[in-house]
Amino acid sequence: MSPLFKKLSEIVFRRPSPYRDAPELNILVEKGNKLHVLLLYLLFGYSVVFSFINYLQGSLMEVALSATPCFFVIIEFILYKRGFAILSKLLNMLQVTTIVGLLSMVHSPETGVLAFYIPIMVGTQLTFFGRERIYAHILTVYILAALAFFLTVDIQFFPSLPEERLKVEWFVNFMGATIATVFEILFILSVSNRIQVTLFEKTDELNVHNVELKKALEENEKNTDLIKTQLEIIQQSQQEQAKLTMIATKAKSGVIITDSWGRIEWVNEAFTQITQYTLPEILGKKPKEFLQPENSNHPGFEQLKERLKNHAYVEVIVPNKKKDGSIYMNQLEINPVFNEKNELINFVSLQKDITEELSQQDEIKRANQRFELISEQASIGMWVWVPDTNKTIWNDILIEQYGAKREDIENNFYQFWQDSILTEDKERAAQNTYILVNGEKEMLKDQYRIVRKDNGEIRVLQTVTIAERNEKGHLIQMLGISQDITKEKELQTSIENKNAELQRANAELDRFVYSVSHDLRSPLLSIKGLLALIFDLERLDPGVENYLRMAEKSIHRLDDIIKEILEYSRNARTDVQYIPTNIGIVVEEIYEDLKYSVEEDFDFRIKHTDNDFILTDRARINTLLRNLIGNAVKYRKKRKDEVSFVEFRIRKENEKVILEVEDNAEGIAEKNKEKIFDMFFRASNTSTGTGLGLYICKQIVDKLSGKLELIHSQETGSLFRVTLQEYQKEV
Amino acid sequence: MNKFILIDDDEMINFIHRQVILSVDPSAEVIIILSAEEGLKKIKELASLKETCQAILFVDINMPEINGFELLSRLKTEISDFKKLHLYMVSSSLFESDREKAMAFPFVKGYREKPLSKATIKEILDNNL
Repeated sequence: MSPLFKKLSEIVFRRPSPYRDAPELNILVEKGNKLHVLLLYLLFGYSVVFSFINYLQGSLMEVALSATPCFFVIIEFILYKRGFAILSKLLNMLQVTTIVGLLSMVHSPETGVLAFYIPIMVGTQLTFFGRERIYAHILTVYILAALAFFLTVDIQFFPSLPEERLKVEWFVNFMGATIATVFEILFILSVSNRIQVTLFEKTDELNVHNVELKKALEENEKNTDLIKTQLEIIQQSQQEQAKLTMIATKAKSGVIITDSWGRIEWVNEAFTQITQYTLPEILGKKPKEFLQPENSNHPGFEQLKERLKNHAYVEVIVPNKKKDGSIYMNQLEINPVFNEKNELINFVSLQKDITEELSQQDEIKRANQRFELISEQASIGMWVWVPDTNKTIWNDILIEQYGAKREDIENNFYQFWQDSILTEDKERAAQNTYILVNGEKEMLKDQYRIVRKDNGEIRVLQTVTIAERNEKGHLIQMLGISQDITKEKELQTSIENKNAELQRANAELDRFVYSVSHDLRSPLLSIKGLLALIFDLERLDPGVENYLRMAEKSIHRLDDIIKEILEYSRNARTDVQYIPTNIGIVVEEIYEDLKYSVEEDFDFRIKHTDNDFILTDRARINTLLRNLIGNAVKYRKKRKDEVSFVEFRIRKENEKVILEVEDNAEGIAEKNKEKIFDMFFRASNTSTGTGLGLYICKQIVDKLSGKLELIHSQETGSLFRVTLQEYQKEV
Repeated sequence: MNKFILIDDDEMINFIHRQVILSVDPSAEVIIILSAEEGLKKIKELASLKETCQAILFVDINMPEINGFELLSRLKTEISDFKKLHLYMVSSSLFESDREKAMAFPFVKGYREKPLSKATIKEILDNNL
């Protein structure tokens, strides 16, 4: 739908727009409409009358002509009532057009030109709204009036017109229209006038009101401000007073108010607390009369006297005396108070007992001095850096560590520090520091090398840096210590080198022991084998066999020595390896091996526990027990009434494993007991001992962090006890 | 006829072992090989023979050039069928680790200390043949 059509339809079908901004105008419009309705009634009546006259005298055409307005009035009226105001106006115009058209058809074709006025009227009616529409209406009405006059005159100019009656009819017709038009003109004029006047009046009134309102508002505002200010002043002064009273009464500082002569007028609670004097006791007295200690020549008093004489502000720390005679350090502040005329009226004095504070300050000072002394003695370099001010403090030792002068660090200490670090360590040290500054860590331990500024020497520094942050994580300050550990580092390196050397030597020794033991044993075992072959021979001289048995014994002993030297060297140099070991089975295996070396009856006994497993070094425990049990067999003693035996017992108590080997062998003489664990000590001549067995046992138990004891040993036998830690898991 | 192969560089011990073997089994064939290289050759040759003839081998650990363990490693890669070979390691070593190392090879039947005794030979014969 085109916008134009939309606009037209909107105009055609809507009610006349009410004057929203001026309700008075709406009433006038309403009245005008009523007048219009009245005129319509008149037209209706007129039309009916003439229709009737024409019916009696004229033709059918004339009747229709006369009745047309009647018909139109009815339709217009209905439309108007229904709200289609514009449509009714259109119809109104159509009616006029029809009448004019019909008239011209009946009477003279020339009057048809009148039809031209119709579009003008419609156009003006549709185009304008509001006040302009009223003017447009007035214009159309004038045109209509002019036409009526013209038509009336026209009658005389058209002699062709027939009959006297028709002339009368015309005359009445147009006079009616003219009168109606004049009425309408008059009405509209008065309406528009009244609207104007009303509007002006209203505007004036409004203006007056406006001005008044503005004045009132301004006045109001002024008043409000004034009141506000006054209220504020009152509040402030009240608060001030309350505050002052509060401060003076409850303040931790003592307050004295004196008159201009220095006589006490008022003191607060704190003053009483400090000095033990109450107001009634001292009212009217001068403070110095009772506070100043006798014979005190503290320089503060002289200053106090001097300043007060000049009515000047004074702040001083002096010793004062309490009621009980004890002395305290008083931090004193006296304000002279003047009135408007600049006359001295009061002294207000604030006092604070700072005895403790002073001693704490002393304490801190002393502590600081001690720290400095310590750092100096221990050669610890110390520094502090405050990021907000970029200020730094280095102690003399730190500066010395860098071989620097104080002015080196004063300009840009960070640059100096970075420049001092050895190139290889520079990036890492800077990176670590960056992480500490920007991260969340609190402490950084670092080690880096620097090049001393004075002599270019490379030194190793060990540093600890602490970053202090507030609750928001903002870095407040960083402090650090630095130690020159070059010497320690050198020592450490040399120790490490020595260790590596030692390890190499050990490995070489291992290889040496391995091949030596092999090379020594090979020929020995050959002899052993040969001897076995010889003993296998059937024909053997008993004398020769005896010698050969002796040779065999020597060979066994030599083999034992080789074995034990090997065991010793192995124990000394290999690391302990803890593995779960069933001790019962280990002992049974040892028993199994030993059985073949004993021809006579021998009782191998074992007392197990529920769980013989312990976590230990299997190879070492094997060697240990093999030695202990082997000794029991080796030194067995033939006894009349009992069989030789060895008894092995294992038990666990208090996280300890206790292994015991008991026998009824020859025992160890009292004088030898102390020496049995010594190297190459042999307590017996009866057998082929090497003097290494128990020594190795002791070494093994030491290696296992245990204890090897000879519990008892007499001629009836011995008891050895091994106590080991019971480990639950690998160590 | 039982076949024994002794691989050991020590002639004396070879002699003794041979005597011990013969004293237990006089009909035994005892082959003495003085180096691991030669021993390897002999073993491969034995393994490739179609005969069902079995052999008991005694291999020493400490030998010059190629030692007993190296020999075992090479056997492991070069021979797949040990059915005919009953291989024992023999040593004068006192190191327990040597025994463990030897027994780690699945085809090694045992580890015996030098010198081999008659009892050992008997036991081995009883177990294998």
